[in-house]
Amino acid sequence: MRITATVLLALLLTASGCRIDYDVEEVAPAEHLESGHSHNHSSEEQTETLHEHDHESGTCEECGDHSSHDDFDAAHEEHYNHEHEPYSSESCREHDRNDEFEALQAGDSHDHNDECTCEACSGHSNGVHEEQHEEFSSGPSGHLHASGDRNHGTQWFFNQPWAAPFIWSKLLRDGAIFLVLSVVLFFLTRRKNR
Amino acid sequence: MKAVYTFALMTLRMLTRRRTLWGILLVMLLALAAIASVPSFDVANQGRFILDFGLFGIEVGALFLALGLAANLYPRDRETKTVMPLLAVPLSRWQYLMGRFFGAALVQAGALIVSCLGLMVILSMNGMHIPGDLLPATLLIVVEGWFLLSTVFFFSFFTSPPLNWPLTTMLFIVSQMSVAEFTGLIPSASGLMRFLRLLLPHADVFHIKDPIAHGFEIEPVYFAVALFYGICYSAFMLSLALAVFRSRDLK
Repeated sequence: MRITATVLLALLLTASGCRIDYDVEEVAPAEHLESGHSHNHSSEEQTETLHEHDHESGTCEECGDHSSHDDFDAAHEEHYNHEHEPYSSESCREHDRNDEFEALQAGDSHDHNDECTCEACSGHSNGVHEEQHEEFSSGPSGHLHASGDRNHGTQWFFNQPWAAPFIWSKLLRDGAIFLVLSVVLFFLTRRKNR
Repeated sequence: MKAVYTFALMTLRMLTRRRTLWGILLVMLLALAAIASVPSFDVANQGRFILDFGLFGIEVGALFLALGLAANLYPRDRETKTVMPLLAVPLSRWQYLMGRFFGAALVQAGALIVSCLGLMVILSMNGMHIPGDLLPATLLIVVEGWFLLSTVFFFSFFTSPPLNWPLTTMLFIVSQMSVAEFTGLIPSASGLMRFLRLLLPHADVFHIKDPIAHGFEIEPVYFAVALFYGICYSAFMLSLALAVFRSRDLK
């Protein structure tokens, strides 16, 4: 019995698959992780998956690559260039956040109507709800994510075992190993007398 | 097995007569009520906070129950010499350990399920939705509690109860850490730390309070996997405890 137990223990120790511990993030396949920082910003997803951008330099702070954010930049540019009327320029918070827009405020013409209540225009009761406008209505950080999606702020949530089916087999492996070890220990430490 | 069953029932009766169990259970229910009475300040989805903190409270309660119920079972038996006649004739050492463990495990599971029912009552009293996965989530916490119970038994065979409390609590905290976090404690010995982490359980397997609070569906197979993992790890800790117990000279 002791020989069998020793052989079993030796097998467990020599099998490399049994000596590797895991984090969900370490063993996650690419498709599980890539949704955390989507580079596929489709036009519909622009308002949902935008992350921090350095618009001054035109690069993304997270990936350093701006080639995949052209759509966003185009929308951003379009927003900068929309027309404003003089009476509303002094209280548009959205424009207060962007120094580049101050130059436009002097001679712009506004199309804002009286129905806008979005955060970007909360300083005054007018504005136009266009798609580009909504992109900037997501708060001070300037980006918004769809609820229930993995992103840079929720990756801790989706790195839990319940959300990572690819480690369930490893949990079964660990369970089986601990079960074998407990049986081996039980018989190895058995005494003839009580 | 009949000896184990009989001794487990004896342990169960003994533990339910102790005030420790009722004290911890009362504190848990009061804590749940306190969580529910925190004003929401008009924050939407207050039920999420109650669920999240409630399940966390039940988990911490599992730790206290394991310590309160089992930390001084063996030391007291040894101090009062009760263990001598038990081991002399009717029971072997593994039967003693299993009887004590199953008795304490039943009491602990009962207390945790009562806490879960308390949480359900609090949610319904506040007019909030009771998620269907709340009971399975509690079941996973029960399994985590059994793991903690087996750890307490393991330490109780070679430490005193006052030392058992911090050791088990430390293991509880460490087992919540990911591999990266644990290795980061001593970065210079990462290989050793990774090996040690391999032997420690992944307690995050038993935590599904976040998805429940946010309305995510959990696949049923996950519960089976987590239950299997928890029971196997508890068996491993019990076999370690038995190895220590068998090596002890009770004279």
